[in-house]
Amino acid sequence: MYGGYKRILKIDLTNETVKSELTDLLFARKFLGGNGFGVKLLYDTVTAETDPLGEDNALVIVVGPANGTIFPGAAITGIMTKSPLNGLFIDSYMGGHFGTELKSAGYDAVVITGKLKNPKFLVIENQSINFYDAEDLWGLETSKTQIKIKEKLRNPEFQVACIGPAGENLVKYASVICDTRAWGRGGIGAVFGAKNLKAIAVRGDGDIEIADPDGFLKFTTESLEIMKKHPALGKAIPSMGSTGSIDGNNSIGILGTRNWQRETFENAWKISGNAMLEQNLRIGHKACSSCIARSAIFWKARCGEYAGIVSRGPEYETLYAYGSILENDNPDSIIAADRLSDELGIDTMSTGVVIAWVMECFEKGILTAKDIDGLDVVFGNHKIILDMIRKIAKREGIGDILAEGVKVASERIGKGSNEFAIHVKGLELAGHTARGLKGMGLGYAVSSRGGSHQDTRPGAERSGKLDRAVIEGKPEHVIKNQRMTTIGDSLILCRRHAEPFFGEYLSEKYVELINLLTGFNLDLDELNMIADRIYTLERMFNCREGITRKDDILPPRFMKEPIPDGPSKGMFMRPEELDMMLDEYYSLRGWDIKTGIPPQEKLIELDLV
Amino acid sequence: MKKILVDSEKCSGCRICESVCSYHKLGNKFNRKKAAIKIVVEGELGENNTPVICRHCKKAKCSEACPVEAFYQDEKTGALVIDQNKCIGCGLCAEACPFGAIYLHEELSIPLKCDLCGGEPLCVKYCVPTAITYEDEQRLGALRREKGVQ
Ligand code: SF4
Ligand code: SF4
Repeated sequence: MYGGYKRILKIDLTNETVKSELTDLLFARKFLGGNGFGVKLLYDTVTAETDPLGEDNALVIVVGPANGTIFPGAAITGIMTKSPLNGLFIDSYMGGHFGTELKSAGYDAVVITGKLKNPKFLVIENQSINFYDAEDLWGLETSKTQIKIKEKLRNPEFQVACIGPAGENLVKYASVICDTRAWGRGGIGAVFGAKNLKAIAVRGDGDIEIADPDGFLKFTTESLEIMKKHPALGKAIPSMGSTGSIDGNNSIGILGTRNWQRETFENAWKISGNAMLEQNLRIGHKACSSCIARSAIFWKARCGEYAGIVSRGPEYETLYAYGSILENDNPDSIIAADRLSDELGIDTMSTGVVIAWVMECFEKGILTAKDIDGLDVVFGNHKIILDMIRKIAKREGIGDILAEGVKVASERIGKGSNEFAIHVKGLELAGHTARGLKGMGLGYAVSSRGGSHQDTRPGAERSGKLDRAVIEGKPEHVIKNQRMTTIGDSLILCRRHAEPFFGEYLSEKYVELINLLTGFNLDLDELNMIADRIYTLERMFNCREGITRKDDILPPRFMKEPIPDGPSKGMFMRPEELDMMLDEYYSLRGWDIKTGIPPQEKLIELDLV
Repeated sequence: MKKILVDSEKCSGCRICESVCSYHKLGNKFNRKKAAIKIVVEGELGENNTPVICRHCKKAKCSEACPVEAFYQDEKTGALVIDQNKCIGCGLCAEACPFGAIYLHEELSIPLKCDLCGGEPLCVKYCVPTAITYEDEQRLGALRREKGVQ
């Protein structure tokens, strides 16, 4: 089948049984792949009663029609589950080479349910699926785990996605690491841990066929030339990854600082990509499958107690999470924290937001030194970051509460600390402002994932293409932008390649690429419909869990406190502004304005019932 | 004769080279396991990538090992290539190559080895960081020398 569609694999860990079925072409046309396949398979497998850390939760791993080809950025592998962090839908995407191997093994999706009796790792090699004992790997960090598994299997071609101690200890925002890439958000690693699943190793030998090979090669070669000349993709990203955004965001006053008490950081330049390059911290870089951006940069810490530590990253989000939001201007400490987080298998964004919240609790006297195990958790003190990460990953002392995420932690600690707990629907916020970019603010509020920057993107407003201070037109922008991210995640494409080339919205170019790969002969209307079908199904998943309009809000800080200083001084999201945008957003989406729930007629229109 | 020059430091491990090679060799299908170039990844974090591709040796171990004399030199490019009709698929050549630059795959009856694509190697064309280039033989080693002199 074209587009590489082959089979869907179902694995039951409890009985260690396996089933596989051919991918139905009608299903493929309706949901496209990646994000679409994942949400449909997950929606049908779990229920509102499913405990995210219980046996009945499912992990759905997906690839799409672009994987395994040479389209630049066709590298991503998605995973979907019911999030242990907030009990809602979560999809997480990683780069690297896992997806190419999985697709070469002949699978479009893998649905994993049940629970292993004791720690094991799963091996998918073409049609053979095996379980291996992992007692001796339990407790190991992620790089060692991968090396050991490749040795055991006597083949370095395997791609190994594994958890570290954080996942084993059911930290609610534990990640899964493959290579140096992560399924970072929403606690995928804890679901692995709860299932006693230490790792999944995959390798495949099969061919990948596409519908129109000549057309595809021409389209790809031309796209490649355009991407190579793009200033960000062709030049800035290969030299410093996404670290340039630190300067960019700071210069317009939208860089989360001091737990978002401010959005300007005087010392931001010290942790910017340029400064890190000047200090010769870059020692090499690496690409994902078919990637031309090679944004995975190896940085090496040079000074102080961190000297010699190498990490792949930090990228922008981690520089925010362990840097500006903690008012930390020491790049070496961020490199070390990034590496430690990957080794322990924990999401850098959530961890940083949690630590920032503790710092503010300490500053306000809500927590005392005794509560924080004697650590001096004050803004600007980089010396405690590694200790805090270890405590959380091991659930030691204060780490045990913090491992639940900032929402639960602030509810348990109380004393008004939820006023500055920075999350949306329980997912800690990424490094993009909800006050200084009105569309992004709406995007966070309605994001299926919660505080993620991947459903709605900040690019158009940040670059000045759209006026960031106005609310007019933003609901429409957000929807069109979400259609693009949804299809990108279904294909599956890297945003860094797709955005510079295709732009912020779906277009005929997307239609052309999909048709060349799959032979579906879609038009733009049908593609928009597919995007709406997938996003609405995500919404239904969340509505089934009880989410309604009242949950589509921002952290109190963003709706009450104007940005106090800097170039964006005075900006914030007035509740009435958000309300107006929500009205328009729901009505454009065809969802019920009062409740935010998609009504029956919309579901029929989208062929979802 | 022109040869493929490898600069491992520039290689990002994107594996586009493997993919285009297979696309060309298999007739419009992608399969990295059926490519005549392979990227070997090493290091604790997988930070070192080395493209492994045939050197087209003057006194080639592969052809010496071949029991049926299936190897011959392409006149136009000087590439050392395998005659499909003569090759018996024993794989001795793959074992003999000091670089491991010949690859076998279950589904293929003869080993995969670089044939320089008739003088326009596709892997080189698609390598964005220019980790592999196609240059005159006397340029071999020149990169090292030039870097060393500086
Ligand atoms: S295309 Fe170039 S950079 Fe990419 S893996 Fe091959 S040799 Fe390395
Ligand atoms: S296959 Fe190996 S031995 Fe034969 S010519 Fe190429 S590099 Fe030399």
